[in-house]
Amino acid sequence: MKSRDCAGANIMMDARPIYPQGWHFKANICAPDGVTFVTPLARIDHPVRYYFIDYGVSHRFLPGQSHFVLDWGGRDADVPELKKLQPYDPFKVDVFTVGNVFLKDFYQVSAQSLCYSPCQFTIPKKYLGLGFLADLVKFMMNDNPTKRPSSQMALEKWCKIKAGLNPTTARWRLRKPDETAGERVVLDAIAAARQGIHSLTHLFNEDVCATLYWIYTSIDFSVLGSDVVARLILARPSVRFGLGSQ
Amino acid sequence: MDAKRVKDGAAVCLKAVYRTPKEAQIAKYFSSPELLQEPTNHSVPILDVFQDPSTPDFEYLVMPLLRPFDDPDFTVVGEVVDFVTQILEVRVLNYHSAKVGTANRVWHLCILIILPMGM
Repeated sequence: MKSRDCAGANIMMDARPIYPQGWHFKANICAPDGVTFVTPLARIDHPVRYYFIDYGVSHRFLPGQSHFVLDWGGRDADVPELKKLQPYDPFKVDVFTVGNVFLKDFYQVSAQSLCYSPCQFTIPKKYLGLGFLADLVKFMMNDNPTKRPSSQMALEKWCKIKAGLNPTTARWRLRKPDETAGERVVLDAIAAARQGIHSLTHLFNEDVCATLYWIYTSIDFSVLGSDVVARLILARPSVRFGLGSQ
Repeated sequence: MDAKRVKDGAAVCLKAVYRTPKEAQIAKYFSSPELLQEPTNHSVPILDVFQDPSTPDFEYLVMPLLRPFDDPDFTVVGEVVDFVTQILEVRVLNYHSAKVGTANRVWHLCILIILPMGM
């Protein structure tokens, strides 16, 4: 069971790319038969599409119509302006709410702590390695709706952040702070091996990759440690030269 | 509840909504052929809408069977980057609609002001 806020609960994905055989509606770690356990494919290799599924409290505005509304508002209890019964700009509420989805799903820091201690953003709680989201989340969750950016501004800021990311980080494993040292070494090693295999598939033909995959999967990574595997990956250019000369 | 589409066996999901015009109307608007082609349209496609005479206050939206966005967990950084991009790009659609829509078709949607399922 996952704990998610109400806004996050209404963002769903079409998971067919990672569960090509489908899944059971209730026992969703199982195939449609409800008994066979299925392992999902990686989203990074089989991209999924995300959807918003609920319009129960949406609003429609005509051109020129004031887009301030007065009702019970959204169900994200953290939105500051919804704590008072006064007209609010629902677009700005959206921006805050989306920021809160990112915050809660990737940082799991309460908005309350955000209000009093913005430095919390420097300490991601759920996953490590997502520090690049901090500025965006802080930008989107400004307490003052008049100072909060529009959705377009949020997108533009994200585009700038994304452009500054090193593409090689895309396959960096999301580490969790509560991993033990042993778990971390093994998981890092497996992730590094996967990353290496993926890189190599773009360099070699399938036969060579199959051989390399066999080599990687045969290595006892828990003995080698992640630094050794990392060195193996970094040694890739020389590997390419060696194979090419055969 | 889950269901299966008879014509092709596709797994679908049924959602009962009050027959207020708003929700089904908005959902169907975003499922129009024109907007289904829009890559930044991340509204769940509504495959069908039907009524049940025994529950006249409700109508039923037929949607594809989906999973929560974080189940299974994200595993690498690139997956998070893709998620954030998809969630934020939907704003472009709203912005676009606001700019080019005709007077009777412009919908500004606060699509994330939403109730949890079951409420």
